[in-house]
Amino acid sequence: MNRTERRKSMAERRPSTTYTPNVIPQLAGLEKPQNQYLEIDNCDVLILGTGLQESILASILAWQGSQVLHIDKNNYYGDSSCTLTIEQSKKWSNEVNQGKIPHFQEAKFEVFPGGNNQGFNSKDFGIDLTPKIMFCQSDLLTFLIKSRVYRYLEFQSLSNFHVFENDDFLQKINSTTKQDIFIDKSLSLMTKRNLMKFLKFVLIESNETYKEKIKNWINKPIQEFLKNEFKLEDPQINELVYAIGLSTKQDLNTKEALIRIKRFLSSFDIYGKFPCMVSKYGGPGELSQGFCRSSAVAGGIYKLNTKLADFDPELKIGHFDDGSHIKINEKVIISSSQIPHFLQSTYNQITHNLKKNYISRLTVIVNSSSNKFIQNNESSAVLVFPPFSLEINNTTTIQCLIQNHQSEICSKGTSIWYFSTTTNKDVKINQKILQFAFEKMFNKVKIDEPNLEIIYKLQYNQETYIANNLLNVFKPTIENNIILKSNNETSPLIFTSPPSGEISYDGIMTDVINCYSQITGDDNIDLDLDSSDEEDNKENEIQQYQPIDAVTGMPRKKSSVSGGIVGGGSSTNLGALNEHAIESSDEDEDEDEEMNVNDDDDDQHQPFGVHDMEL
Amino acid sequence: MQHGIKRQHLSEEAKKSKLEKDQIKIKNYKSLVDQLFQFRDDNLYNEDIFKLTTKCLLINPEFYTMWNYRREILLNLNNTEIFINYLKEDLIFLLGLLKKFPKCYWIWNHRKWCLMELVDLNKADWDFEFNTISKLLELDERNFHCWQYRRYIIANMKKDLDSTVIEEIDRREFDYTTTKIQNNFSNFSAWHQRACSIKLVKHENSYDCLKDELDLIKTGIFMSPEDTSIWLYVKYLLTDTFFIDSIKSKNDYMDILQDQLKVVEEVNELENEDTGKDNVECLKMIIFLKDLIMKQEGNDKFDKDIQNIIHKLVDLDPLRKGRYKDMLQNQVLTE
Repeated sequence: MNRTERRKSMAERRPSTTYTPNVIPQLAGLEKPQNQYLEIDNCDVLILGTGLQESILASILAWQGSQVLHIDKNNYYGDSSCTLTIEQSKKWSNEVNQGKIPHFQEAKFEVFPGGNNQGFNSKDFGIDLTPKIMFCQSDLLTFLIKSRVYRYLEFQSLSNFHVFENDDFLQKINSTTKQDIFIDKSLSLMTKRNLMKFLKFVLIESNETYKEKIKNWINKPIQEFLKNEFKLEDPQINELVYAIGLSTKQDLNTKEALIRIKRFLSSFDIYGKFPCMVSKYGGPGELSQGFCRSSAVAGGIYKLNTKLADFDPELKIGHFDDGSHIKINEKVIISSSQIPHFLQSTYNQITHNLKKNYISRLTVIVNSSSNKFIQNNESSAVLVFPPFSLEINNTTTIQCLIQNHQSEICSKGTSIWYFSTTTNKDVKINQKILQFAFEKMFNKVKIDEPNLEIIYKLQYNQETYIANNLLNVFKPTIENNIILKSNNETSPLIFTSPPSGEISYDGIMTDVINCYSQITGDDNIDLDLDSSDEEDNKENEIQQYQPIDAVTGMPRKKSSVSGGIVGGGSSTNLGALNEHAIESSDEDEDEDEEMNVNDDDDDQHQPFGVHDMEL
Repeated sequence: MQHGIKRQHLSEEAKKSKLEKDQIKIKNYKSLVDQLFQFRDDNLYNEDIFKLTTKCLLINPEFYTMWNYRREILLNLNNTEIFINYLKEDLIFLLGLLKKFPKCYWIWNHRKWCLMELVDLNKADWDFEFNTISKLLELDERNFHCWQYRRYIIANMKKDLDSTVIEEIDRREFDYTTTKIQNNFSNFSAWHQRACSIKLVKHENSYDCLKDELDLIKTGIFMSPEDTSIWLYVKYLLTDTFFIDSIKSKNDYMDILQDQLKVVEEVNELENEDTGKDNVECLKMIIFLKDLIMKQEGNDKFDKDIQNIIHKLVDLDPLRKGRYKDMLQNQVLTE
C-alpha cells in the first residue's frame, strides 16, 4: 500500500479540471502547482491544523485581506475533523495509541476477513473522525452560501431519523409535519390534535404566550413539560426529545430541549423534504477542504506535512521543521491536536482548569446498503437509542449516523455506521455500550440480510473542551472557553478546542466567530467577496413570489414548497440558548449578567442569526 | 490588520448608487412606454414593435394596455404560419414571466388568449399545458390562478374526448385534490376544486361518499379548528343538494347533523380546556348546525340556545359584533 495514499481531493474530483497534481499538496487552491518553498517572509496569522474551525477562520481572514499561513503536521486536510481512507485510519489509530494525537485515546482498528476477501479498496472509503449532519436552517449553511464555499460541495438530504424503541427500530419520525399528522392512521384524533398544538406552540406562538407557558418548566425535564402542558404520550415524547431534538441525555431541561426541537422544525422545507442534509464525499473533512480551498483562492498559503519547530515570542518569529522561518505579525492559532512539543506546558497550564467532556465513537463498515434505514436514492439516516432503551441500561443517548455508497464515502453494497455517545464524566463503560448498540442493530439487520458481515471497525475515545450542550461556545467566558482563556495581550498564541460531540454543525460558526473576535477585536464578519456578477440575480430573487406559510398565513422567508407546518421566520440553532437566557432572565439569575452583554450587541448587520432567535 | 475598528458598511453609499442606477432604469422605461404609445397612435403594427412590447412587459407585466397592443400586433400579422410561431413563442415567454410573477392576472389572461387562438387553428397542445400547470401547482399549491387555470385546461381537454376517458380524468382530478389536501388542508383552492370535482366522479353511493368526506374533515377539525377552510367545506357538504338528495330520509339527515354537532361540541370542549375560552369557529359551526336542525323541525326562530351562543360570539369576536347583533335582530344566520 502506497504510503501517501489518499482519497481524491475536491480539486481532482471537479469534472472541469483536467490537471491533476500528483504530489502533495493535493489542494493547490488555484489550478497551478505551488512552489514548495515559502516565498513570503512574514504573515499576519499563522494557523496550525486544518480542522473545520481553523479552516473557516483561515478563509475569513484571507478574504479580509490578511496574509494567512496555514500549516498542518499531517499530509492531509482536516486535522481531527478529517475524512480518512481505511489505510490512513489505521495509521491514525496507531498514532493515537502511541500518544501522538492529543485528546484521542484507546483506538482500536480492526479489518475483518470478510473485508479483505471481497476486494474492497481502501481508497474507496472515507471515514469521518467526527461525522456531522447539517440543519437546513443554520448559521454555517448561511455562511457556506455567503462565502460561496458551497460551490465546492454537494449536499444530500438525509432520509430520516429512526428511534430505537421497544427493542425495534422500525419507527420513523412521523409527527413533525401537518401532512404526516393528518395522514397517519396510527395516531388517535386526540394525539393528532395535541401534536398540532405543540407544533404551533413551537413555531408560531407569540413571545409572551411562549414565555408564559414555559415559565414554570424551564429548568424541569422536557418530558414533564410535554406530558403536562400538551398531554403528549411517551412514543411522541421520545420522538420529539431524542430524534427531533437529538438530545444526548435523559433529564434535559425544557428550555434547552425546546430550542433543539425548534432547530429541527424550523429547518423544514428549506432544502428538500427533510430538515437535515449531509455533504457528499465526507462530512467536516470535506467542508474543511472547501474552506481551505477558498482561503487559498483569497491568497492564503498552505503547507501540509509541516510542523512548527520553534517560536520566539519576543521577535514573533516561527521556525518550521523544514528549516524555513517566518515573522508573524499578529496571532498564532494552534489546534489542540497539533500542539508543538515546546508549547505543551503552556497548553497544559491553560487547559488545566477547563472542564473536559468525553465522546466515545465506534465506526463500523458492513456489507449492506442499510436499506432498512435509508430509502431509495438517499444516502444517509440517523438512528437514535434513547437513554435506557437498551438492556445494558445506557444512561446517555447513542446516536448513529448511517451512510451508504450514495454519499460516496464507501463502496457500493456497503455502508458506514457511526455510533457515538457523549458524557461529561470519563466513563469507561461507553465503548461497551456502543458495542452493545451496534450488535443490536447488526443482529436486527441480519434477520433480513443473513449474509451481513463486518468489514471494518474503528473505535476510540475523545476529549473536548466544548460542553455537550455547547454552552461554553455560545456563552464563552475567560474561565470556560479555551480560546478566550488562551488569548491575552502578552502572548500571541490562541489554542482551539478539539471537536465537540455535537452531531450537528451547530456551534462551529460561533466558535469561529469567538476566535475571530479574539484576533481582530471585532465580532462582525463581513466578507469582501466580489459579488458584482450576482447583483442582477438578487433583484430577480426579490421579485419572486413567496409562498404563504400554511400555519402562520405569513409569507415565508425562503421560497419553497409549502405543505409542512413550518415556521418561516428566524434562524435557529443552539445559539438560541443565548437569546433564551435573556428572556428568562428572572429565572436564571446566574446567567443574567453574562447575557446582557449581548443586548448591546444588537447589530443589525450581524450576519449569522445566532442572536436573532425569536422564541 | 486593523484592530477595534468596525468595518464600514457601504449601505448609505450603496443605497445612493442603487438609486442612481434606478433613475436610469426609470428613465429608460418611461421613454420606452412613450415610444410604444406613439407607435400605437400611429397605427403601427410590426415585428420590431412586438419586440419592444416584450421588453416593456418584461419590466412591467401588469401593463394591460401593452398586452392589448401586443395582441393587436399579433392579429395584424398576415401570415398564419408566422402567427402560429409567434403564439407558440409567446407561450414560452409567458412561462418565464409566470415563474417570476405567478399571480399577475394579465399574464394568465394572455396565455388563455394565445391558446384560444391556437385552438381555432387546431394547434393547441393541452397535454403540455396540463403538465405545466401541475408543475406550477407543485411550486405553490395555494395559488388560485393556477387552480383556475387547471380547471380551464381540463374543461378544454374534455371537449374532444369520449365519456370513458372523461370519467377517468374526473376521477384523477378528484384524487389530485385528496393529495393536495393531505399535504396541507388549509387550502381553500383545493377544497373548492374538490367540491367542483366530487360531483363529476361517479360514486357508488353519494351517501357513503358524504360519510367519507365528513370523516376526512373530522381529522382536520380536531387538528386545527381555527382553520376556516375546513368549516367552509363541511357547510357545503351538509347543505348542497347533491348530498342532501342522496340521504334517504329526514331522520338520516338529522342523524348526520346531530353527529356533526357532537363532534364540534367535543372539539369546543377541548379548546375550552386548553385555552379557557370557547373557539369562535366552533361556536359559529354549532349555531349553523343548530339552525339547520331547527329548520328541519319546522322552526324558523332562533331558540334560547342559539341566542346565547351568538351573545358569546359578540364578546369573543368583537370585530364582528355588529354582524352578530344583526343576526340576533333578524333571526337569520348570515355568512
